[in-house]
Amino acid sequence: MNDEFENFLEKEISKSKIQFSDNGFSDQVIFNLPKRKKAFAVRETIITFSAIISAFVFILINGLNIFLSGLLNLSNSLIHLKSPNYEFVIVLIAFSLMSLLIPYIELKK
Amino acid sequence: MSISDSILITKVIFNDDHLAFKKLVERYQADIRGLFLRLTHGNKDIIDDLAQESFIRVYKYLSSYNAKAKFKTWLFRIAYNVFYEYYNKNKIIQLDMDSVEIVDQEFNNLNDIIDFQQALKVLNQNEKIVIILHFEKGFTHKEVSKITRQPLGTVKTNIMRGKEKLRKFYNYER
Repeated sequence: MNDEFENFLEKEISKSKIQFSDNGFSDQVIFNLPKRKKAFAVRETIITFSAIISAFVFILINGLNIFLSGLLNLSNSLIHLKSPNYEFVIVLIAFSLMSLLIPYIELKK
Repeated sequence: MSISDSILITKVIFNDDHLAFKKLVERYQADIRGLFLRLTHGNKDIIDDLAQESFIRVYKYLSSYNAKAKFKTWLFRIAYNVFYEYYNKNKIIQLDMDSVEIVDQEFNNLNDIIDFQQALKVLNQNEKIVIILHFEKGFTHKEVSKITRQPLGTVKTNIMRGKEKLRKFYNYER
């Protein structure tokens, strides 16, 4: 709780409050800003490069076919209570985990 | 409705948005220039140079700003560093403090400003900064401790000593 002198002091301070109007100060600051290195340039390049390579490999090994047949196989095995194609399931889980892990790491940064 | 600090900061970091940074400068320039006016003789050129240097550093290091802390506290921490670097270089405290150079005519309360500036002269630099940050800028003891990197106990002691000195200056009876 404030004592009486603190209240007095706060009054003195508010009486002498300084109100600086901008008067072109912010423009001057903006004019003198240094050029900033784009922090994410390297990372963006790596991500773009990886995405292109992944897309290329995906097309090359007919990835869409493999993925769809894997999903079909998985749903069939679930419906008919058969053992699924474990390789596909493991790859699916690994990619799902990676897709969760990467944003988690980024957010933690 | 005004855009929050965190949105403006995000725009500056990710898009290098100068307009967003300008809004931040406009929002805090009076606080920072006011702080420097209290800490220096009131020389407008020095005040504006120090304030400009502070905002340029904010811009440079904005990506290292930890969003858990209040932006205003971080900004004042930078301004405090800028002032002390300048102070150590120029030792302005050793100059004649009687001649307060607040010559700017834009203040209606110029006499009140000079009066309080005279009162602040009884304080040493550490007491002055904590008194200004706590009583004028409204920072808590903990925040003042973060800005000045003084231990919390030291901040409380400096505020207490500063208050006692000002009490004597104003001849304020208990």
